[in-house]
Parts: sequence; structure tokens; C-alpha cells
Amino acid sequence: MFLTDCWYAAGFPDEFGRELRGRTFLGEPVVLFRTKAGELVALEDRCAHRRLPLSVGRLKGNTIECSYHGLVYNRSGACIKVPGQNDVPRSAQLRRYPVADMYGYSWIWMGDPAGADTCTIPDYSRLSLPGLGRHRIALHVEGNYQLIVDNLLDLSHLPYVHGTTTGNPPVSESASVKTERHGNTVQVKRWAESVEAAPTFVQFGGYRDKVDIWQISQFQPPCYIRVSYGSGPAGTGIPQGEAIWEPGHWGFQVFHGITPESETTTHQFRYILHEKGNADAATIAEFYRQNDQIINEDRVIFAIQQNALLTAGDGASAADLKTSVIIKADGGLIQARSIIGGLLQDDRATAATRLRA
Amino acid sequence: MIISTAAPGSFLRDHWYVGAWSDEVSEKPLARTLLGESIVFYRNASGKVVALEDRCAHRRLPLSMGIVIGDTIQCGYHGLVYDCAGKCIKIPGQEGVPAGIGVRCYPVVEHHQFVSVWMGDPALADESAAIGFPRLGDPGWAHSKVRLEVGANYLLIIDNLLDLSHVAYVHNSTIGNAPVAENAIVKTIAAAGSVRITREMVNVPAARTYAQFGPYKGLFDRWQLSEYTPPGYFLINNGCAAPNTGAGDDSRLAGPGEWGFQVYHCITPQDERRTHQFWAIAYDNATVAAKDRPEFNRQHHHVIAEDVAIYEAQQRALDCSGDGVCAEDIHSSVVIHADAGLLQARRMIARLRDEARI
Repeated sequence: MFLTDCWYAAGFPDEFGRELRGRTFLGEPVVLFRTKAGELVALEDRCAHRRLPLSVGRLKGNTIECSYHGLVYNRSGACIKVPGQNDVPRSAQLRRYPVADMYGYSWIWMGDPAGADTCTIPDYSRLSLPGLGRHRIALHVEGNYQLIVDNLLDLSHLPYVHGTTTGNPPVSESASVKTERHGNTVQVKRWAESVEAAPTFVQFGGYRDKVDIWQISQFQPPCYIRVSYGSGPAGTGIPQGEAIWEPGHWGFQVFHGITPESETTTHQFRYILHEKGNADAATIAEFYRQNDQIINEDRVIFAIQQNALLTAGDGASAADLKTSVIIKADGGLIQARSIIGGLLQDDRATAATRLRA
Repeated sequence: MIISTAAPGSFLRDHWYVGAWSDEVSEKPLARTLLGESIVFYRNASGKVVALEDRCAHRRLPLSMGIVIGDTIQCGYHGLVYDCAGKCIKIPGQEGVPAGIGVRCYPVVEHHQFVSVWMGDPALADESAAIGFPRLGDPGWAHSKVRLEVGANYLLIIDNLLDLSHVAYVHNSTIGNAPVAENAIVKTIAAAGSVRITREMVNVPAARTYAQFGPYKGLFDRWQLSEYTPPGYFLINNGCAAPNTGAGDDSRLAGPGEWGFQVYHCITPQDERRTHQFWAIAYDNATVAAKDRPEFNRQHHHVIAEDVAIYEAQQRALDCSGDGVCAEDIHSSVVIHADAGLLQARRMIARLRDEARI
């Protein structure tokens, strides 16, 4: 079950061009390309005839020719040619998905096209700010998207999963945690004062003494997540604040585009954003390498979790882990799951009403 | 498009299927899965092909891991020996063999390079009904053959071969060009036991392979005569003649000025998602000079590999769709004119399957 009336990250804009690219979102195969004028087009990735994916076909001008029997579809998804016959069956129509390029992502609307309003694309406008360093990575995760949401709303995992970079014991042992819910958004703040800095913070923040640290995870359904990581010399931090780049502070922000591929796999498109400061190219490259290592460490966790769920045999799933213990750090993810669950229930109720009507 | 209400997996059993090329079978056991059944083939002392259930009655080890001794095969685990009829005739370390111990034996007929296997009730096996193509092995004809392991359901292959309009798109670097799809006059004739589809193209440009090896470099008349016989046999007569010499009759390839070749496909399901495709091309020795045959054959092997890529992409799309589709019912939302042949064939398969259930 997925929320469909939402924009999802389809990828990074420069991944799509004058070649056909097939990608599956929410279990639906989609073929993406750009028209000659550069406009992004997303269509159902299967020929109406013998179901061959159109992504293995040919892009001709602004049309796609199926590579099996040569049916041709225009950018609206309408079949405009069936070789060897004059008429084209009206049923030969592919679904067309609304798309938009914004804030460093290509977004796709997976629900009723009538509801596609680009104003509801999450505010990732910071990614468009000039002068900041940014680094991106695309990952294929062998796990359900909810496992990723869980992970990003409970950063007490840092000392255990990312102990060689951003994690050390104070992040879980000494931190205060505050979870706030405003409407359908959740914010988890985690902070610790006068603690040892984790390796990445020592290396790039230049700390020799104790530090104040703070992390703010923000969640909006279906799975838009931003995380800010901040630090400053002990006694100077703004533990509950937003400011991560005040003079004397060091930190970075992470933006996640999380898009379910299937019930057990997920696309993750991630940006980190940081002030360049005086860091040289080699230092920045090492910082990026550490970030890529971090997200791959998480990816391994997701795959193992998903595999454990699939082989459990007791009906457990990512939507219902059948966990036997709830810990304090779960506050944020429980809120997020309750929001997702509520919206899914609304969707089902709407669908039921539509059926009755 | 709902073609049949039959459950997937109901293969037609009371038929001959090609299990191997003759030259694949020797005194070394050959393991092969047909219609979901594991079979071991070997040649006995007198050179006759034997096909037995490939699992020892004792601990289920495949007999194909054993060795052939004269007319018999010995299990590679505890040494049980089976004769050509599948009867266990020796259990090492004990006197005599309890009655009734054995493995299933499949009727086999070897003809025209094929080892054909009867997959149904042995009492119904009629050797004269096994389909073969006598040009394979005719000294006046050359041929090239291959067995392909296709990662797709057999119905996707049958669909393909009954709608040769795809030749224009899938094989456009060799035997295909646009007129094959755009300008063909197509007729579909369903007879009692087969479906025939004729595709005639009059006064069209020759596709690359034809121009390179045939007598017509510019415009020509071209035909594709495809005949399907269940469960999975195809004979396709491909040829050409001088432009506007008109459509001929079924004896084409024999007339003056006619040039072409025959293609054979024998489609044997391995399971729901894998299929053996025994493919051969055959042509009169005069059609292609001996020195040109390697390249001529290579182009056709390339063609068949292009089709395999299509089948496997379709199968993957079906497997990933999550909406209950399968090769049996692909939920196609459009039927085009060119589908006439494959719809006939699928109806024929469904009817045979229904009859088999009665």
C-alpha cells in the first residue's frame, strides 16, 4: 500500500534526456525521456499490445516506437500508429504521469493527475541556493521505504551503524530528544551539550575540545525527510535551534528523495548541502566519501531487515514489524507511521466512497 | 484479452515434443527438463536413444549423475541399475529386486536430427504423428541449427512467430525493413490441426540480408509463409521473386526466379518461465554459396538472439507487474490486425487443453 496522490522523486534531472529510461515507482513501470525542447515526459512503460516495456523501444522525435511490432505513441501516451493498419484502436492509450523538475529533483505524481499541483512539492528550495557545496547519490535499497523513514527519524542508531564517522556514544547515551507534531509534519530534535565530538565532526569541524551537538529530522508524508546536523564548541551551541552555519559552528543538511519501487525495494535520491568554508578539494572529497559510506551502511541494515521480515513467516512486514518492544527513541517514527497510516486509511475510504457512488 | 480460462501450468501433454538434437545425445547421460519433468537421455549399446525419469527411485539422485553401462544406466549414489524401460534390475548388496521398482520411461523417436519425446500417456504414443522436417539432413540442402534456453513462457515465443510484422522492428539490421509491417497483405487460415499465416509484399525494397545474399538488390516481391502446428512446431517459408511476378502458391521456393529459405522452430516448455527453442534454418545448396554460408547463418543466429531478448524482457515485465498477469493472459489492452494468427493459435491451444481435460 502506497500513498499515490503525492509527488515522488523520480531521479535527478540530468538522468533523463534523449534516451528512454525505464524506472518502477510504487510498483508501476514508467518510461521517462525529454522532448527535443527538453520537457520531461513520463508514460506507462508497457506497450498496450504485447506488454513489451517501451523503455527498450526507440525514441523518435517526441514519439516512442515499440521495438517489437512498431506501435508508435506520442508524448501524451496516445498510440498514433499501428503498422500495417490504417485505424488505431482507441484503447491503445498509455497512462501519462505529471512530472516537474524542481530543487534538483525530477518529481513524478503517481495519483489522479487532476490533483497534481506543483505547489505541494516539498520545499527543498535550499538546494537551489548558490554558493553552497552539494553532493548527491542515488541508491537502490532492498527494503521497504518505511524502514528508511524509521531510520531517519531515530538517529540514536548513529553510534552503532556509523561509529567510524558521524556516530559516537553521546549521540544515543547523552542526548535529549524532543518530538513535535504539527499537523502532518513531525520534527525530532536531538541534542547533547559538552560531549566528545564524533570522528567526522573532529575531522571537518576542527574541534579539539568538547562540543555541543544537535540534529533535527523533519518528516512530511509520504516520505520527505530533511535532516540537519549541527555542532559548535561546548557552551556556544544552539541546541534547539535551526542555525547550523553560524560563525564558529559546523554542520550540514541532508535532503532525501525516497520513492518506493515495490513493497520490498526503494529508490533513494539524496543530497547533502554544506558551507564550503576554506576546505580544499581533497578535504571536501573525503567528506563526501564519508557521507556515501554512511548511506551505504544504512542500506545494508535495510536489506537485512527486509530479508528478516520476508523470511519471518509470522506475517510481519515493514508496515507492521510486530515488534515486541517500543523504546523512547521511537517517538518520532511512531508519529510518522501514524500519519502515513491515517492517510492510507483516508485513501481507502475515498476509494470505497467512489466505488459506492 | 482473455484467451483461456485454463490455469497456467496446464501444458499439453499428449504430444510429441523435441527433447534434444540427435547429436546432443550420446552414451554420456544428458539431463533436461521438459514440461516441468526431469528427464535423462542416453544412447544405449545399440545406439538407440533412451529417455527415463531423471531420479533414482531410491534417494532421488538424478540418474544423469550416474553412468551408462551398455543398455543400462547406473545411479551415481548407491549403484542401482535401470534398464532401457526404466525397470530397476540390480540393487548392489542384495539379492533380487523387489517387483515394481523403476522409473518412468518416455517413448522416443529419433528422426531428421530430432529426438522427439512423448510426454503423455505412453499408450497413446503414435510415432508416425511425430513432426519432423525432412530438409534437415537432406544432402541437397544446407542447414544451421541451435538450441536456445529462453527465460520466458513458451506462449510468448508462439505469439512472436505468428506475427512476423515484428521483423520490421526487431530485426531491422538484417532481414527486416519497414515494408514487412507496412505493406504486407496478410491472410490467416485456421485449418483443422494448424494455423497458416501468409504475408505477401509486392514490389518493395529488399531488406539487407536478402539484398546481400539473394538475386534481387533493389525492389522485389517477398513472402513469409508461417505454419504453426500445436503444441510448438513452426515451419516458415521465407522467400522472394522478381518484382510484380505476383503471389505464388504453396510450392514457392521451387519455381524459377524464386530465392529463399525455410526456418523451423520447435518450442518445448521447460517450465512456466523457461523454454527450449530448437531452431534451424535450411536452404537448397544452390541458394547460398558455401563460402557465404557462415555469414548468412550468422545473420540468422543474430535474428533469433534478438527475439530471445524480447521474450525475456516481456517475461520480466509480466513477473514484476503485480497485477496478476502471466503469459497466458497478458491483459493486453489492444488487439491489432496483425494479432489474428496468434489469437487463432491461442484458441487452438485452449481447445486442445479443454479436450485433454474431458
